[in-house]
Amino acid sequence: MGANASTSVFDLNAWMKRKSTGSVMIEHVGGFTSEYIDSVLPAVEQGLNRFVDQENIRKKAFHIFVECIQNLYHHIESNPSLIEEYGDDKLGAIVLTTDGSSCRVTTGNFIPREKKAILENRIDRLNAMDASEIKQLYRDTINNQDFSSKGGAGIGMIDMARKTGNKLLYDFYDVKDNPGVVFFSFDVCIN
Amino acid sequence: METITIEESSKTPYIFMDPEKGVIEIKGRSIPENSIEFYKPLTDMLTEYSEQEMRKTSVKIQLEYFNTSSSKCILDIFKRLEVMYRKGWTIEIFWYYDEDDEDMYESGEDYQSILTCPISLVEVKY
Repeated sequence: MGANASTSVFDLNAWMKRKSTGSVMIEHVGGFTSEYIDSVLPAVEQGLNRFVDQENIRKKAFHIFVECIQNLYHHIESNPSLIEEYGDDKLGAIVLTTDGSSCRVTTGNFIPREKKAILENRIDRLNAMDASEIKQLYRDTINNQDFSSKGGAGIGMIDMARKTGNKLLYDFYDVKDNPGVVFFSFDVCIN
Repeated sequence: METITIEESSKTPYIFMDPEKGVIEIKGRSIPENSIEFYKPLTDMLTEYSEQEMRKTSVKIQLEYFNTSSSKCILDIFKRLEVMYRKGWTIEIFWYYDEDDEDMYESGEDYQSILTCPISLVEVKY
């Protein structure tokens, strides 16, 4: 749980390589448009049907992948300070892998440093809850919270924790010569 | 009021509403990026429908997948129906789930726990 908050220089290619173990069904670094999401979802289903035996794992993995990619779609913000290092002001990454019996969805994106503590608190709080507490939090949040300005229901991470029954894993990495930004690495395991 | 029919797509469900017969159906996948915009024609029509003469209203929801923003929109639809139910309308909601889809069953239970309007959970066997 965030134990690897690094002070070393972040290397996006090395991060992608670390996350792309086992059978890689999807790996993408770049922008996340509605058109890209349309094009990748059939490939996700084909990959899951090909590599994953259990239908309930396939179904949950597809669901989690959709939530994760739509989180990137809604939350990646333009950050001009990234252009020099990465050639793009608005980019993120997603990886879907499997070992045949379980799947992992990994996302990464650059966020303003001031949002780090909010995310950290939100995930730590979820990871400290048991299944019945997460279920109740889901119900309370969907019932009482309005849509965000970005059109999200504010229950994506709660839903992922609930559906998988697993802890949500994350790390933050400092970005070279860019103290206002950190890279947020997020993993959800489905087994 | 006219019937609404929205055909199913790879990310959005089939939607049907016949205000004269009091029938609403949502079926398929609901994973659009902008769920609020997608469901707006139905929620707008429900607002108008709720101002009409009371009639028995039957709602059938059968989803394969739905994202969290759709789950919030569906709750919004149910809350509009609940207002009508409290005013004396006869509202019946049927939430269909595949026999081995525990997550979809639990989603039906979530709505049951939030709403006072009755929701029947209907298992679909293959």
